[in-house]
Amino acid sequence: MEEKNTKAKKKPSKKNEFEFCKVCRFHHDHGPRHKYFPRHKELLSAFLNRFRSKIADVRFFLKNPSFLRPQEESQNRVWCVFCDEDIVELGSSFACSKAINHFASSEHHKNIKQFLWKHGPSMDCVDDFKISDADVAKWVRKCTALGNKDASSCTGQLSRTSSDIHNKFEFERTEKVQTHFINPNNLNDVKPLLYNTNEYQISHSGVTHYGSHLNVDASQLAPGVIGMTSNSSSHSGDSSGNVHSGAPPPWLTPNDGNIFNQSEITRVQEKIPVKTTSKLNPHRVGAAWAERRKIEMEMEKRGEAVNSNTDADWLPNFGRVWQSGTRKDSRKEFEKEKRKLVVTAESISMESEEQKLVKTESISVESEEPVQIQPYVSKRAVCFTFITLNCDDWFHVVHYLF
Amino acid sequence: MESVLLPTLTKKEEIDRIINNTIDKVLVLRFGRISDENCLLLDDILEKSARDVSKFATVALVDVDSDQVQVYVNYFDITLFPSTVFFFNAHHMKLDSGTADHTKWVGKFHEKQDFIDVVEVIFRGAMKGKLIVHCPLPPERIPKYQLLYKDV
Repeated sequence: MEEKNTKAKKKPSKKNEFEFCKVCRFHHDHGPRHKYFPRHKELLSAFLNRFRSKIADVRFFLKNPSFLRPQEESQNRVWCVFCDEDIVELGSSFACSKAINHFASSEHHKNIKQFLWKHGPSMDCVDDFKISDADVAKWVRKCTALGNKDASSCTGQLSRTSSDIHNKFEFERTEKVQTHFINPNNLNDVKPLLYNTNEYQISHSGVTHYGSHLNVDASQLAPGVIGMTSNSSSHSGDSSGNVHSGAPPPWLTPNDGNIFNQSEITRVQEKIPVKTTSKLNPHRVGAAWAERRKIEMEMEKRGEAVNSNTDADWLPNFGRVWQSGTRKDSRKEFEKEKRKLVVTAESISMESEEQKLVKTESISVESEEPVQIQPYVSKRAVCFTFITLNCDDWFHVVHYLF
Repeated sequence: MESVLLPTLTKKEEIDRIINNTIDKVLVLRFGRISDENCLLLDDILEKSARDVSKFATVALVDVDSDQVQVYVNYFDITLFPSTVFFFNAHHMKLDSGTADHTKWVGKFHEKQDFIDVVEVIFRGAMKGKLIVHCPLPPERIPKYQLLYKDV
């Protein structure tokens, strides 16, 4: 017995392979006991709470179905953490319809169970993350009712507004305009997209965003909204079309009243000097020169006269080999040498014409006379020889010594 | 024989124009003769690498046998051929390669990449405001020569 117990105890712990924990977001080799670690439990509860809030948003639209505008389809998407897939509402007419169908599907249920079995300690919360078929059926009924109501809601609204003198223009316009049916459902819900200016603000606040449970009270908004829109619609009432019908905006139509024409716009744009915002280092070599040169080149392109600095004698900034000092000094020295060369050349030419011997300067190599090499004689030696020759003439000795 | 890709300059005005029109790019001026063997080897490397460095450098050849170019030959103190002088925004860029003359590159390059490295270093230094840069090449790849002052 004791041997058996020791053997059981001595069973070597199996080395588990490394696997990735989706909740903790790291690799571990703890095996199945990882899900009982306290850190994992904490992260799991946070993980599931986050997904619960997303499901709560979807449940809101389950209870209150609403139309989904095409331009808001991209915003209306959910990532299902159990199935690892993105649910995009492409082509769906009602908000979160695909998400609702997904959460009600059997595959999703299976994935929830699998996830909780792998990561979670208990299987109690499965129902939190799925939508029952009964709820889905209710939702479908509501959606169909919504669709039916929508056809009649437009005319109902029109009849309501016909007696309102403030809304006279609105009434006339809605008859002509092709209405885009968006959420005319409940009195508690937002107004449909029939009104001009504030319609985006109203509809956007209640319909498309997740978690925004704003129930805009139509009765509160209506007077103000209607008042504003009637003012704004008066301008659009005269035009042949509007944004919904796809007509061009009034500032682009070639009317007499228009201040700007396309040709004028282009002319104005041409006149405005294009500032070349260079992102180059302002401390780079020759930055100031480069900026000046760019401006000069632009002026040359435009045909304006430019004072060109490039004379025949222009020389670039260069540090010479045998000169010390600044580059300006080396350029000045070169120019001095050049002038002297010119002078000597002229003098040589004069000599050749007049055939006269002229003393030349010893700077240029060509005009130099061959130097006669003589032995070095010191001053003292010179003085000594002179003293021996003129011993009576002291004045001369003093003069030469000093 | 003129290079297909690289312009050959024979007049002072042409050299002035190319210096003034090359903005925010390194200008590489090769002073040499077509008859010189080293010059031809250098030209070959310059032609092959001109396209690779075209975004930050312009390469041009100067024929030293032309009379109008002699002023630049004297100004740049060019006594050995081929010599390559570097400019950036009309400012002369010096290159310390361990030789006696930092104002130019004398001789040919060992390979294409050496030339590209040198031009890159000059460009980087110029963009940082440096007028003199250190040569990135190892000493064995730098041609050796003796600089004489007025042939003394």
